[in-house]
Amino acid sequence: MFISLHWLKQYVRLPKNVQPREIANDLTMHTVEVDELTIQGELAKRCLVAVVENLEAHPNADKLKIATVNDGSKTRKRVVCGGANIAPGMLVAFAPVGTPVRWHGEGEPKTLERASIRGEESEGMICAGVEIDLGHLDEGEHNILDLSQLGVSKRSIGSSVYDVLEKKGFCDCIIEVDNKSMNHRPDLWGHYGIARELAAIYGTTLTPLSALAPSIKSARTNTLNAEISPDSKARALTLMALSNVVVRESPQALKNMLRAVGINPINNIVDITNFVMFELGQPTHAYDRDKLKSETLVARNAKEGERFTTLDGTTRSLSSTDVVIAEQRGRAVALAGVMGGRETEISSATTSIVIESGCFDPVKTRRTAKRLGIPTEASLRFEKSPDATKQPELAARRIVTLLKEYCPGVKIASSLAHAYAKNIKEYRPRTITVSASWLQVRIGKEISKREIVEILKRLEFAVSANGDTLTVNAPAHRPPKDISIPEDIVEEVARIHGYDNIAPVLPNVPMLPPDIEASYAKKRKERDREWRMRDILAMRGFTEVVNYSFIGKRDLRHCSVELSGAYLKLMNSLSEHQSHLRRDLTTGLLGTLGKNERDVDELAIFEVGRVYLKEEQGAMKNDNEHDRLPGEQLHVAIFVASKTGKGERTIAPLETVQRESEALLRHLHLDAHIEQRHERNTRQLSWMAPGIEALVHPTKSARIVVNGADVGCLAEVHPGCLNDFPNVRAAFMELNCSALNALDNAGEHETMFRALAKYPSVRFDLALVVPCDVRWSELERTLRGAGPLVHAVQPFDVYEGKGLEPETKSVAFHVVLRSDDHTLEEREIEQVRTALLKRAGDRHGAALRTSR
Amino acid sequence: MDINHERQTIERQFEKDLSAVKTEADLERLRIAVLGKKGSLTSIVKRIATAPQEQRPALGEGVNTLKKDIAEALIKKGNELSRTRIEQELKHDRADLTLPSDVRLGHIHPVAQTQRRVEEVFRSMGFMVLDGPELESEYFNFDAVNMPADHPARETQDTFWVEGKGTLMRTQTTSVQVRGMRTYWNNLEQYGAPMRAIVPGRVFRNERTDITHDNTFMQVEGLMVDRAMSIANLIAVMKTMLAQVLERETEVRLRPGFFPFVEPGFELDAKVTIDTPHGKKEKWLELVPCGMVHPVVLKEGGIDPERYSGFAFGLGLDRLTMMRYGINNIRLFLSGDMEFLTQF
Repeated sequence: MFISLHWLKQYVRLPKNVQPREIANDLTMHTVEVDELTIQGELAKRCLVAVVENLEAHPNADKLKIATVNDGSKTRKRVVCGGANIAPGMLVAFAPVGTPVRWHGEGEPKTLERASIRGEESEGMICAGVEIDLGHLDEGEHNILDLSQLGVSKRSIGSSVYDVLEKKGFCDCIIEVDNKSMNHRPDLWGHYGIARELAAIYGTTLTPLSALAPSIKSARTNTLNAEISPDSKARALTLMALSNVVVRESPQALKNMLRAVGINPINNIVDITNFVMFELGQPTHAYDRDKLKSETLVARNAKEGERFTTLDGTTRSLSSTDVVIAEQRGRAVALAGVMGGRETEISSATTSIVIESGCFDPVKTRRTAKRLGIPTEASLRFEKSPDATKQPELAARRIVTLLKEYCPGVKIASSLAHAYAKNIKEYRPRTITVSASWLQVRIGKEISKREIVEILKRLEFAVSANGDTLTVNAPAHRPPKDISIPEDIVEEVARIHGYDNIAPVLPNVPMLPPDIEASYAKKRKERDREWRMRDILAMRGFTEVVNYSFIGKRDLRHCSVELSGAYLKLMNSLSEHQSHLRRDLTTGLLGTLGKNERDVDELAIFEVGRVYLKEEQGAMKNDNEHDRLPGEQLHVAIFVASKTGKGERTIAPLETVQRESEALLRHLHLDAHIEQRHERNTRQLSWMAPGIEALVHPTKSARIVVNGADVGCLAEVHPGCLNDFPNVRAAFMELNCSALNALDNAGEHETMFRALAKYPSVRFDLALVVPCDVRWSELERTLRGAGPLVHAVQPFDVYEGKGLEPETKSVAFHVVLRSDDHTLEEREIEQVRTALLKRAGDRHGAALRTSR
Repeated sequence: MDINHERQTIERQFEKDLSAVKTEADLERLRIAVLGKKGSLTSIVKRIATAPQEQRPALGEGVNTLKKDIAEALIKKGNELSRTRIEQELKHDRADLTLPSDVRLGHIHPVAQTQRRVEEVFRSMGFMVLDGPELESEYFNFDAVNMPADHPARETQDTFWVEGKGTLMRTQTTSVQVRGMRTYWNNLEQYGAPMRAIVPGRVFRNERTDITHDNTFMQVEGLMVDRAMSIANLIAVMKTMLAQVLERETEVRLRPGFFPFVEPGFELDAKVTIDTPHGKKEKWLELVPCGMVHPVVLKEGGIDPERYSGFAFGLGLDRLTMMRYGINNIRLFLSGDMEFLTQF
């Protein structure tokens, strides 16, 4: 909203010497956020009033002229000027060399230099309004500022343009307030409300409302009648009729004020209703009384499908939730709180009017304005739940006062007709009891009781003190939606006192670490692990990616899976690429490959993030234990991809993923087992949906098991899913951290010291030939079971191919034997070796590989 | 000949021969000539036994000292010779150490780095770091934090609604305020400890994106509840926290602001220096919305607003990160672009 400083000064006396910038800053610091301050004519301070004495054509440019100007100094100046309206004898704003001006009204000011324009020397500039912060006075885009038209006389030649215009009231300051910062303050949506705040901030006097809107001497005859139908939820409706109206142009002063806040003047009646809205924040509407077919106006719900033509000429189909002002048992004449109607509009022939000043339900008003796409200055104000008890009548009285001034001869033709909602009491301002000491504690500063009372009174709260206890009555313009609890009084006192005047005080609290709360200690450890995972992965060369929680059909184009079914659906997504919620991270990381495939030969990335599972039970939705959100899990995934045939540096994705997964799991102190029994090992994982299942290689995949629980999987990416990426191979690992967190000690093993070996260990190598489908994990179990002396078995070579039977492979490994109580003898070693070979032979058909 | 005299002759001869040695082979020959089985020194050692009993210790000591000195001199000379030889060989053994090494550096996401810094700061001030569901209920996201059904924010298209009754992607980490109070307050109260918690997390707004808006971003919600918490406390904690997070003393100002879950509400602005086409300019940047926790919210969390009060605040991690690194487009964070991600 635009606030004019001139306008404000009609109501509030501001301290001398207070600059516009300070006013804007004080409003920001105590009341509402000022977005921008425009000081009209700021750059005109160093411009001089000058007269054009002579004008000649520019020899090299059709649109330019060469003017000789008299700026009151001894020498005449030759100035090149492009203004379309320049004429001899005109008084203009002349900027001499060295003056800052704003080129074309944009950007920061630049200092004028002596310049040659198309070969002609120019000793300054004749300015358009926009160039010296007087854009609001410009008429025509290519015109210069014509001071003669503004009533400047030749006596002013040589004076500062700003000084001359300021005296004539042309240089206002426009304060633009951020509307968002006063959504909760309906009283601030007019100049008077802002003036009231400034009076409270500066402790200065304010013109009382009774002076602006004195009571009205009603007409004897009263036929007007206001009614509220309860389902309209309208809170108040006030009507007032006037006759002997003459519709005409408003006086210049009124037009200037409206223009200053961005409103186009129309005629005196409409302008006065607009003026009152920007003054008191109360929207009103004027009907042509002769076009009304009924003396009774009702606020009622519209009929479903009711047709209504608004002032802007658009015929709209209404819904039964919209509220209209209607003739009794008749047609609608206004869309309540939003816009008036075409059929009862004021015209130049109007002589008799009805003023309507009401208060309508904020939610209904907002919904109607939004549904019909016509948020108006009126609907914006009713959305904020303004006062319904005093304000409507006040505005009606103010309109009458102004009409008498601007429309002499006007007669009051009715008394004020009021209707109020049955529950109007609910909208009456509240009485709040607080103690001064409590206020001091909440603020954290000993603001004296005297000051507290003083501040509240300046804000027009009625305060009565009884010892420490204060009984505070909110004024009418601060309705219950705004002021209703003691905390609201804290705010009023503290903000006017000034937040900057409250010295910071650090809280004085017991030195207890949050881990004393056992359930938190567990959470804290889980979070520590999350960070540790990031550290480990980053240290091992992975780059963290963060993807959206949303996926779309594009993300599943690698397979023929539909998004419906397993994936939770967004009900109001703006994009088909973000229509559902992810169930895993890997699908998104495959998308990351797509984004980087052209530029990157190898990709090693990871993500830590949440996934969402439709079929699982998550956190409680409310107080009901059984009402649950869908499931949510924390996952971490790593993804490696590389282009083959790009030289030695190419990494092998599956091997890398396997190695790095192991590194991660071991760094995290997890006793993880890689289980690979069947094809499609990942199917048992509950979070796996067909979308990611399709990514898994049929044979190169395994589950990760910790303490017997399935916590993740690793796999090569199915080559069929990489058709878009020629020569690329990829692999991934995805870990369900939530499942890990649910395990005892979050799956971590405790580290205990083991005595160092006292006796030497014995080491030998074996190479066994086994069928190809025998996994190392199975062989290892067999070998380790060969007796307590087997301390470690460690594979170092697996070979398949020439020299071996088909479908067999050779596995070579080190065996380490060790005893804690004696040095091993040759005989014992031989026994173990025999046992190893026999067990492997019996269980896996293994044979000792014989070298040839 | 007199043993002593002979020993001196050997010593002189050795010194002369040693200085003539040029190769390791020469040196080995010299060693054998002096210390070998038939070496000159070895032969006089044998003869000590033939000397008179009383002379033997002195003779033995003299010869042994010489033997030790010679052995050391030989080793020293050997080291010198091998060093010279290796130096010679190494002239052809080269490496270009200016070539980049084959290192694959990993990177933590810039917003996560900021988040960690913020978590560290608050942990050091005794705050818990909590989380809550991203897929949230209408109740915890809105109702419980004093944003009732007809609140405008609930009607705008800003919220991503998810299938299922009253289910949405949380629009604010404020949703965890009441969850956190309900989970931890009773125990903390028993210990006489204040509730101090931050909630870093992902939030969602269903709106068109541009360089300063994305539909997914990171917030940190903060909350402190204790007996008699005041506006002065809030200002002090915010100042301390910001100085730590921004890693410099920062001028801040507190001004009125409005948020349904606090009363009174504030905007905390920080003074920052920005680059403009016309040079550096100081400017107030809206950084931390905050306020005293609304009594309705405390009640929802099971805390008696008559006995306790608190303050709450929010921080935008994306914005802090953009400030810290000079990033000009918020959408880069979720772009998955390696050129971007590998800069941090």
